Amino acid sequence: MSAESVLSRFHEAAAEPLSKKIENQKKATGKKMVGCFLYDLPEELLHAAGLQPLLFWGTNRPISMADTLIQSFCCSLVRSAVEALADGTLSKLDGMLIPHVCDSAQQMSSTWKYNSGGMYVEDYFVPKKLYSQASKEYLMDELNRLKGSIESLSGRKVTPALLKESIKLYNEDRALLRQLNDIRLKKPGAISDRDFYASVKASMIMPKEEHIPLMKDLLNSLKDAGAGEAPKIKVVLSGILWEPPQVLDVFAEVGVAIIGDDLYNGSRYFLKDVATDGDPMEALADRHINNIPFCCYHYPRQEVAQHLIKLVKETGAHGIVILEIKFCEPQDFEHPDLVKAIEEAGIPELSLETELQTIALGQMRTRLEAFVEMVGE
Amino acid sequence: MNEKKKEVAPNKAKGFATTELMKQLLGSYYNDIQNCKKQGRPMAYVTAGFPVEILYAMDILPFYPENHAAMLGARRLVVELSQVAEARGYSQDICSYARADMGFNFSGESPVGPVPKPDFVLACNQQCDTVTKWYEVLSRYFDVPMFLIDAPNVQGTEPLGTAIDYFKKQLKELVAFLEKNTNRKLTDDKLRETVTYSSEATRLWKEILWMGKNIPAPLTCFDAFINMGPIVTIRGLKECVDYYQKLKAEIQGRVDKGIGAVPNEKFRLYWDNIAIWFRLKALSEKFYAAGAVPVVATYTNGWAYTFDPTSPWDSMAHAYTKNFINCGLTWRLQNLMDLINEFTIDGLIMFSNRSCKPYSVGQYTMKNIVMEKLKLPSLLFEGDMTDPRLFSHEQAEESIDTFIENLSKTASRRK
Repeated sequence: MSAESVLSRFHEAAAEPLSKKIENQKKATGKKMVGCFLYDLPEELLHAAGLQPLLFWGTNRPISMADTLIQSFCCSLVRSAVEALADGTLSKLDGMLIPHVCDSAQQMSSTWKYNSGGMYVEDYFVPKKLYSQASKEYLMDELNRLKGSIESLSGRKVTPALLKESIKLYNEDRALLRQLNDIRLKKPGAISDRDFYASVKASMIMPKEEHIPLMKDLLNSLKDAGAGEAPKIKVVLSGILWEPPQVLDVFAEVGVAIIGDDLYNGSRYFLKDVATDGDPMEALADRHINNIPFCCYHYPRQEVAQHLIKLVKETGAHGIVILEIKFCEPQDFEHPDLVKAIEEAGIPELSLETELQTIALGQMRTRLEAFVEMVGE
Repeated sequence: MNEKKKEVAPNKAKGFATTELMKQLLGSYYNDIQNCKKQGRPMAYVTAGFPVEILYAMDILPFYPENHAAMLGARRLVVELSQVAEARGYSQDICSYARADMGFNFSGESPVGPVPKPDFVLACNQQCDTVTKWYEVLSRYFDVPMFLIDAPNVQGTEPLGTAIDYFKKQLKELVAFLEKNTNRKLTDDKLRETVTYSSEATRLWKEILWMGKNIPAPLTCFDAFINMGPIVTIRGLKECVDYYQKLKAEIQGRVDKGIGAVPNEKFRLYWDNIAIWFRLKALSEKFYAAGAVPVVATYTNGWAYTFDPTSPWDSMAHAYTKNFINCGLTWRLQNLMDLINEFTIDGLIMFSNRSCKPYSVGQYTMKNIVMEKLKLPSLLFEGDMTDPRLFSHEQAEESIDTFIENLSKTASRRK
């Protein structure tokens, strides 16, 4: 398949209405499907149990029914997820897995259980501390508990052999995404940011078995591609999600290329693999512990900032753009000192606010244009 | 019929005489905080659900930003202080306790006087993830170490065994951290002493709150909000036990005479969420005028821990993990049904507090279930615990009026 065809398939997959996707994929794979809110969770465990994970962080549709279940002062990821529950979009899911990454996700879990007509809802009680021996021991206990629950949903025992197979498959997919990431670094413009992130999103909403051959075709097609039109500036994008998708269009229109990120639906998904030697459950725990810093967890010394500054140096980016989701408390608390650390490192910085439903695109465009001018000086 | 004659106090029962002692106790406590460097005592900023028994056993003073922020809220100082934090880039969307506290630290302005720089900051996230991020800011601002106790959520009716194990291991890590940072040692004897005092104090606190079951109730939730300072700040010390012994005796006096805190008690209510610190008097008067009396609150119940001095590590791990705020709807609904029964409740006040997602998110479901199962009306109104900019008095008062009308219809049907 040509690059255009693959990318077209990826964009289609992202645009497909969720309820249709759930129906179609269940038919195509013959597997039970488990919705995963965000995804800091061991997907490989679900796959090894013979389940199909559907990673999901809400939708861009307007919110109305969710207002009867959840307050307006929660972020749009959680609210739009609840909206999709309330309007029946997710009714054909065989289960829902909710990692407790933050207070809103945690509270959403209870609400989900009491308003989903008996859907199987499981929690992933992820530790918020990553650096102590006690945290790792707890994480291993929690992964074991989760495994047991997943096995009872699927009716299949997850043996170490099965888990290692799934890990191999997921590592293969991540490696392909990293290769694509290298291309956008070495040949900016060879693939647009919209297309790059669509490729990442496709991995989250398609079976890996379908995504991998498509990625191979894409990489093959891009092998001899040259760099595209040089962007005006190159930035590292920091935040939880690039959402809504139109945000990426604005960046492209203004001439801003994203050559690195710490996004949840970006580098956090594909940068680190799961070790293939040793105990696979421990390997899953290690990947979680060693993944790039994420504002929802506890880090003793500004690791999020340090990581971004390092990334700018490695990639040669001109600056950092922070994309904040409205009502995200972890991001809000992190923000002022994060900006200060970036400024002290002598790196230009721009902060933008977004939410899944509607954002002031015009304003975002204006601010990005001003940033481009400022950096260009 | 041998019914005890219900004496009605000639005026509305005006609080408790014992509360004067509390002002002295807290005054002395803040004095110790201010002079901790002079006294050579290490001091830590600490979250409300932290196992302070360990700190008091090592003579480390805990300062509570939340308790301090509640006081700032009551004195209407939060907007000013929050604006100091907002000027530094902190969003108004975040918890108002945190904004007030950060604004206080950045500006040094507080009626309790100057608070020395802490030696370290200590948080437990069973109450929320907000404290983790808030204390990270403090840790950077003061350039002092931080210790976090990580307490996974309780979705069933009991914590996971793995969560309790994790908590216990972290308690040992905490002791190592404290010993390293203070050059002091924790002894089993001292810990047994503070846990014994905590156990006594929390037992007394629970007995006091449960006296609200009496009809008429000798104390209201507003009384409890006013008298909760010691159980939060000096739990673990003998003075806390003494205080609640005296308070309990005074309240018992009312029970013996059948005296209610509000003379014309018509409707008995349950209060959900933190107190609205800047509006306590006006709100209480509004309810009382209609004979509507909040007699039980999950917030004040939150400090009715059960400790076992013969098993301090296990009981601390269990109590602090299972704090109601760390429990999901399964536990909360069961608890709510129990309280409605025990306290003879006619209706629920669900204060949806913008500053506290772990408390507020889930209230809509609780309200629906209680209406469906028990036909009990709920008053749901939104606001904030200390930031008056996020609260509309007019709207709240209208909602209260409507609620009281509903109560008149449904409560008479229940009798």
